[in-house]
Amino acid sequence: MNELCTADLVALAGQDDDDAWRELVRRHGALVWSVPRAFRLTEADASDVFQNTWLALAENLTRIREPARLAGWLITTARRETLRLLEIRGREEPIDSWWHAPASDPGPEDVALAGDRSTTLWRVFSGLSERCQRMLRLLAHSPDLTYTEIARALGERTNNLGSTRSRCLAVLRRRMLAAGLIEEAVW
Amino acid sequence: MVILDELARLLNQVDPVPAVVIAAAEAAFRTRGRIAEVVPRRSGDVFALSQA
Repeated sequence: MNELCTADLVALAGQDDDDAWRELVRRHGALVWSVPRAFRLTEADASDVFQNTWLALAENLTRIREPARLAGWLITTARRETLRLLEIRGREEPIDSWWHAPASDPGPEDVALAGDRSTTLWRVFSGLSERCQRMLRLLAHSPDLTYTEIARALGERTNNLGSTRSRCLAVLRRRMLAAGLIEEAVW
Repeated sequence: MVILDELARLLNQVDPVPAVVIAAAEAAFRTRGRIAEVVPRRSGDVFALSQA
């Protein structure tokens, strides 16, 4: 299954191929997970979003218009589920208010980090703006996403998304350099 | 891109998809069309499948 492209996997899964479905979940699971987590949903709520997104795909496998662009379909669906959940919970907030500065005490995520390098990188990443964190989470798991797909997932306009992407990457790179995580030549 | 690769590894380490959630996604495929609904439980640990 490793060598098959996404469109082939979607076609096979549409014919009830269990292995193809598992490969789709393996390839895109982290991307789907990153959407509710980027919007700071709890693990339990993110699990609901994840579950509902894959269930929606299972029910619509034969109706996906562009199987090759499955990643875009998944993150759009995951975002819709995320917003629906936020609405149900009645705790929808303006996007800019979702960011909270990292606590000075180490949280569970810090404890989970095994090495100094990972700890440092997590601190660098956590120090980025909420907008950059959201975008980079998506790009890290699926670098081939188009600006239109990213815009849909983040609920933003496509305008200036390219420059925002470049700026977020540049800030991350600069801070990684400053923290000694990478050398000048790395990009 | 090296930076994005490393970021992906970090995110998978810090905030991995729980195994039970992946299992539920696989179950959603195996049971589609044969169940009335898949009921996610917010307690986080178990997803119950309701038989039609």
